[in-house]
Amino acid sequence: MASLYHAAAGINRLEQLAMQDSPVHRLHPMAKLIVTFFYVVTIVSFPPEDISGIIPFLLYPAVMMPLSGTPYRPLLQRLMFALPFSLMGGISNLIAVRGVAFYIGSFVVSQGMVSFVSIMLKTLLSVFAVLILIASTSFVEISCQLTILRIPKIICLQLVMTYRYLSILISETASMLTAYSFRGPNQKGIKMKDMGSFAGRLILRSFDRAERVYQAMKCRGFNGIYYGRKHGGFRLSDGIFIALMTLLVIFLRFFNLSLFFGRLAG
Amino acid sequence: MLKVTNLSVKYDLSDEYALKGVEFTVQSGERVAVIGANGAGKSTLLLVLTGVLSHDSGGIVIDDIVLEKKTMLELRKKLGMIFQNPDDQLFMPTVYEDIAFGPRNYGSPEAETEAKADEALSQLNISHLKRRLSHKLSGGEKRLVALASVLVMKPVLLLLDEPTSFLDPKARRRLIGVLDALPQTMIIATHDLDMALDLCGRVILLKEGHIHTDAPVNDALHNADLLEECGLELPLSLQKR
Repeated sequence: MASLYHAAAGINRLEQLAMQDSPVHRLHPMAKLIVTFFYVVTIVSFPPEDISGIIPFLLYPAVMMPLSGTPYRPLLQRLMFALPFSLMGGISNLIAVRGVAFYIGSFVVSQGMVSFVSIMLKTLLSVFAVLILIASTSFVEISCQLTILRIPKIICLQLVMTYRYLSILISETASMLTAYSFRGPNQKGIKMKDMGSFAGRLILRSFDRAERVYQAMKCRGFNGIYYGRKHGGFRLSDGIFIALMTLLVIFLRFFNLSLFFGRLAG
Repeated sequence: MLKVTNLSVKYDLSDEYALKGVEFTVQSGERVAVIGANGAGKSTLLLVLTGVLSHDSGGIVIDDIVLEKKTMLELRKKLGMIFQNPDDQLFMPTVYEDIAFGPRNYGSPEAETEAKADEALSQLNISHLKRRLSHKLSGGEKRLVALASVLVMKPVLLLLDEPTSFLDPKARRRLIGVLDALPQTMIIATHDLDMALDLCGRVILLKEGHIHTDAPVNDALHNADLLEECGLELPLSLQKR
């Protein structure tokens, strides 16, 4: 139960981080969105065996996090939610792909192992990039920029509302769980026989809540389109950020920096 | 300002009327308390007045505009509805985003929206909350922000559903002071009869979906028999200890 309260607080923590002031926060949301998208797509485009090519991309979170004043811990905690999924994919490669990739002394490194590390690295960097974006830009602003990029408005609105509701849903669940556990102090979690009515009740409460929020929105002129804050145009700093990051990403994609330094050292 | 004639409302899948033959008028600048036991139809009446709930029969005219589908958006600009639970009303991440929601929906440019938001916040002495996260506010602050999110639209008619619920005595007193200073016409659905006594000049007493009594506040709220008949009690300040 305590973990539910922590989860709700965690979502709020990201919103709080997004409201801070830093050079990264001051960048135009669209500039950050474009760079993040380009960065993630480039990382995903690496072939599974090219681990050394991906490693220099660690530079991005290493620079952006201190610049945006984003603490490591909350991001690492959120990373833990994504890692199990790629872990599953990685492990299956570890078992299924058995060809020899290379040797370290007498130790055989299989292609499965390389693929496993590659998947984990790609996940780590992609999730970090997205989390840095969310920690330095409010979710509403991101959604508004998606609208400008011609993503259907209804999808953008759904994203904003889902994000907003997540913490409400978690706190509703937590308070229901609290009430439940007070009436059954010696049991752990919810009994299977109560699970159906608990979930049903939660859904009904969520529907009621959603209905009331929708009524409040309609009363203030909502007609299905969310109009977010209109940002000014791109400033010079935004242009420089996009140009610099794009060039860096392209350079790192086609020039293997790790191998270069390795050869220099060798 | 407001004219309601023969208003009847029935919820889907229900045989009983939530409101039946409700008729009243409210003059400009008047403050009317709508009271009644639980389920009497107070919240339903407010929701029907905003057009969020549709009515089965009867008519509603607000500021000379008949409430119907095509006038809904225009009318909602003139109405400000404060919901019972401010958490339902504050759905944006920050206070400013929440207050800006209404003006943006009506096409207000960003600079104008911000100026309006600042004005609404300073009117309620809560300018310091502008950049705060909505869900991190206290109950009293949330209520004031919800009020600001409505005042920013400069409504002519305020509809308030249990405005003092969830508030501690100090926040309640502050809210009553704030409401008392507002020039708008108000319809307040409430169980807080002491607040009705403080703020309103007139009381509409609902019972089982119809108007039982429509009288000056002092006549209605001093009448213990009348209140008891409708499932209510004298205001605490009038009860003998």
